[in-house]
Amino acid sequence: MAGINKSGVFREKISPFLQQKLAELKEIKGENSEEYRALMLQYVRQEVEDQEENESNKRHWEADLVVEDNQVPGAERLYNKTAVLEPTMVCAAHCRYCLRANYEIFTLDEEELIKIARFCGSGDVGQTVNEVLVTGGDPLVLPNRLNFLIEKLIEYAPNIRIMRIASRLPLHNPLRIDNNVYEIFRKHKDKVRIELATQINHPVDLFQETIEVFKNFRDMGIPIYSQNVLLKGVNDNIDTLTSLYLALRDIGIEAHYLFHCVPMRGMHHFRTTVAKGLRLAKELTNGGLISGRAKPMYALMTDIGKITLYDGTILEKDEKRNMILVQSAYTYESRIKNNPGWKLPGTAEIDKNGYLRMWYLDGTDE
Amino acid sequence: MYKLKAPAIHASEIAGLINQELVGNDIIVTKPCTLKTLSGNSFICLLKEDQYDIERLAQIPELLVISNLDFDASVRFSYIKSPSPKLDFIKTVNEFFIIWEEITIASSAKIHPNAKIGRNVSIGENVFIGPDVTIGDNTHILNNAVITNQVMIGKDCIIKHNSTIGSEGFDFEIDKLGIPIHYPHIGKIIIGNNVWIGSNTSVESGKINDTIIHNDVKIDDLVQIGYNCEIGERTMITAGVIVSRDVRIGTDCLLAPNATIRNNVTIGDSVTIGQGAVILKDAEAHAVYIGNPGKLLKKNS
Repeated sequence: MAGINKSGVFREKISPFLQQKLAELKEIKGENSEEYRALMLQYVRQEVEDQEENESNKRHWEADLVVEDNQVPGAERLYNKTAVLEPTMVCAAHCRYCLRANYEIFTLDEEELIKIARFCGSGDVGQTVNEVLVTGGDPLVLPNRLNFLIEKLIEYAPNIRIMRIASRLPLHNPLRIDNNVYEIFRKHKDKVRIELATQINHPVDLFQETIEVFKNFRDMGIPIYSQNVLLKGVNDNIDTLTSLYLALRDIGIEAHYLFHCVPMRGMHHFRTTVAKGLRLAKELTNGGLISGRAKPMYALMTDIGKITLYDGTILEKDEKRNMILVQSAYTYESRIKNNPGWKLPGTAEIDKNGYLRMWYLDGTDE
Repeated sequence: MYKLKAPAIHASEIAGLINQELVGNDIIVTKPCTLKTLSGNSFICLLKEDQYDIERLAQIPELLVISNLDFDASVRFSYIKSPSPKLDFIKTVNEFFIIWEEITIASSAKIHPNAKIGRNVSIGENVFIGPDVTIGDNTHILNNAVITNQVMIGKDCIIKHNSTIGSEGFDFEIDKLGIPIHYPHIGKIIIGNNVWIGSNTSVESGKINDTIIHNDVKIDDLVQIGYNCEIGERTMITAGVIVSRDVRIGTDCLLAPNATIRNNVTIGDSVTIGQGAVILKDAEAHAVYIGNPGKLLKKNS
């Protein structure tokens, strides 16, 4: 959830909190320990990121909206009921598998946020969208901007009844979740439903300080959910995934997606095969290992949107290109209706029933 | 109103906030500083007019400079070049280094049940709010403020300690016996959005017409705003200014400390009134007035 600087570099950026935790884990558990490696791989830049691989995409999809005749960065829409808003691309730390690693870093000013809020409350968006995902970047890093955006959405877009605030700040630096942040949730939660979305990939992410923050949100009545990423070397085994989802259940964090790692530049070394993820997901969810309330949905983040894997979703595999053809229930018409500027990606096609399907680059299990 | 906090943040977060490029290392900063309080892991706003010693700056470990100056790439501190360094410095302090006061309504505040109070309004100790008062969302009323008579205050305003909004106007007619008879003030006070009213400032109710303070006006401490005045958007009125009754002040004006404006005077847009000036006649727009009696110093293009 962060981006490149103007030189085009996705810098290594590790918050002081994580630097301290990495140092402690290295000393106490050792640098070959699962815990240290799980944390280190998420944040420490690896040389393999620079290797030329088939994963060459710089964006996970193109869904920018045209707001008041301007291409305002920070507003995307693919789906019928939900728009994605990005008030800032700044984060407290850079996750090395970030979806927006290659986006330019920016922060929207107040005028731009008002434009976006007005847009959310007008036209087709005002008629159909009732939910926004506020992401970035990490909106909790800049609480004033987040508060301003929420205020303006309440003022200009009363159709928005649910706001999901996506943040890894409780993991990156829980010490920065102070009253300014809690106050935003506290003062608006009776007006709109506010949920906290986060991403926890390994039990090691759940330091005591982090757990305290999530408990504080939970005690305020804020629903929390986690959409996690399957990362080779971090959590691509059943024991880790089981521990992770048991821990989330224990803290009161709902499981949402378990994503196969997206095929983007610099992420080859994190990407298992889709099939391995399926095997793990089946074992995790159909093996009686975790509560039924803790089960994630295993999904792909494809060029045409998220596709949850059910029976028959994978149509075929092209072994030579290491690509799989996946079937969605999205239609081209609905896409254009939701976002008139949307263009069919080169990897996608329309089947005889009018549904979109697309070729998705698989990972490897070496 | 504010409490300072000391988070450890990367310089690149500041660059990202103000949409400028960070040059140098992505250091950790924990506090703002000035040339007088230079210290490690801090950030400073440096303007072209500042007297600074670049060697001294280079000796400070982990220093971030936000500046409109051009530095040699070899400087030993990190910097962000900004066309508006002061503004960006303020944004940075506000966003990362300030803890907001909790939004509360003090138990000692007296708020009439008919008063209309918006969302997220903070009301301090011993505040009095009368029955015909409306206060917009996110406005902060600080301790001991008195808001009474017919008053409409917009959103996002700050009403500082001990201020009085809705003071009865000072207007008397002498009767046959030579006794001053007070003229009842039954007009409203209308205050726009994002207005700042300083401590111990008094705003008088309109007589029959209204007293109007438009959006984004900032009024300092110890200011008197007489009845029926109208103050245009973004005008700034500094400490000790006396604005008599029925004065009209345009947009984007600056009234320096202790200026006095006679009743019924009209001041145009973008006028600067110098310190202690006494303005007895109308002031034309886009000009600077100084002295007693106030005279035109120069016209701005």
